[in-house]
Amino acid sequence: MPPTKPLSHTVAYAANIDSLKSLELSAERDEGRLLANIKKVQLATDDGAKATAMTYNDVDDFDMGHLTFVSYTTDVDKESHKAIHKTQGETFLCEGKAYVADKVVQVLVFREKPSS
Amino acid sequence: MRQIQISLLLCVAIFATGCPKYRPSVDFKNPNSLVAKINEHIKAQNTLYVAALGSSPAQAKQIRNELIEDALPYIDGAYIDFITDIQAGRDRNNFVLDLVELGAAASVGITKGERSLQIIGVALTAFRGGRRSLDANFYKDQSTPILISKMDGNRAKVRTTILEREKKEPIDYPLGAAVSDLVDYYNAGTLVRAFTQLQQDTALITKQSEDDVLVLKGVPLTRAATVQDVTDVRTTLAVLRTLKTSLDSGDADEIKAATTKLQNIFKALEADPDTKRLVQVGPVTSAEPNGQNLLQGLRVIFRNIATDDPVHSKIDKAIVTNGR
Repeated sequence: MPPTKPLSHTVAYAANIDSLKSLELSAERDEGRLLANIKKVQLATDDGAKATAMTYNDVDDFDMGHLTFVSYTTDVDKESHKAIHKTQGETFLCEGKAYVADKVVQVLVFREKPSS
Repeated sequence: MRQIQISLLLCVAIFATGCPKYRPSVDFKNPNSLVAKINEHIKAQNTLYVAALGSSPAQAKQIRNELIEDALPYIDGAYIDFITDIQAGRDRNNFVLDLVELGAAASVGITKGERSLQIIGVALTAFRGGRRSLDANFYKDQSTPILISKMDGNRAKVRTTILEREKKEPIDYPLGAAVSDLVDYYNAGTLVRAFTQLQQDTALITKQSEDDVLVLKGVPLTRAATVQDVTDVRTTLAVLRTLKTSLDSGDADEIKAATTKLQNIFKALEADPDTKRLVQVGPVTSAEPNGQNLLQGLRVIFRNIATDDPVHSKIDKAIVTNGR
């Protein structure tokens, strides 16, 4: 079998997406649709228009989804979120910036603890 | 009537337009002011320093360093009083006024050193240039804790520089430069410097943010997902996970059963016109006898479709119906 290409996918989301929860759901859906894991969240311009870009890398298993997106404002806030989610068994995946309702928010992405 | 109107206009003009304080009043005569204390200290040490410079550079270095270290507590004390005041919402200008006093009066203390005079002159000019920032009434935009934090950071940077320079010999780090560093240390603890530093930081962050923006061309925006979308995805993934586990089990019967299910999934996809074209594009059909290849074929199909394409619902249905 030839290897599946491309190994990574960049998906763009509108800057006016209504909430961080919608972005979280979209990322979770798209992990499942691409059979890939989220690697990056960043601001983008798509043909000149503001957008949020998420990069996903292909994986062979089907253990994706169950994401948690959290916004933060300061470094202290960020570290607090990381600590809290760690105690809940969630894995920190990446951090970046995204547009929510046309405003820039800083986000942390976690994967929920796998159900046993 | 006209005279009354003109008088009224004049009164409004006089009382409504305040006189801007671009030049703060300076009290050089107050012997208890911070400037007077530091100035007195610099004068005394300067005499000793000049005397030692020719005969004993090591002693001159020691005098210079003592001058610095003895002056710092005055500045620290004034700074602590200052931040206590601004935290209480009282002081907005006093420390800045002191700065002008320090810059101007310190030059009086070392009149014998032309270079020192120039350095302090430069420091003072820089301060006056930054004075405009204060006029911007930045209290409206910056919260006090942020400004204090920035001032603390600025002071720490200058203090580190001073500690490093104290190791140098007088020829490399003369008294004039030391006094200049003291002025710099003082300036670092002012709102003007904090504000300008914050502006620089913001500009830097903005630049970094701009650099981080990914430029995409021709990438269609993806529709936001719904809870139902995610539920469907999770159901499909659970089926695929089970099939993969069976194929990886090493049990021939289990592998065969999983392979048959995957072939049925492909048959279902081939039966629907919308999904048939996807199978035709991929390298695998329902005739494929290897389960792993069939699973890989599904991966190819998935990754070739936009994530928000409605055809996914048909693929989900084919997988869930035939893969369980």
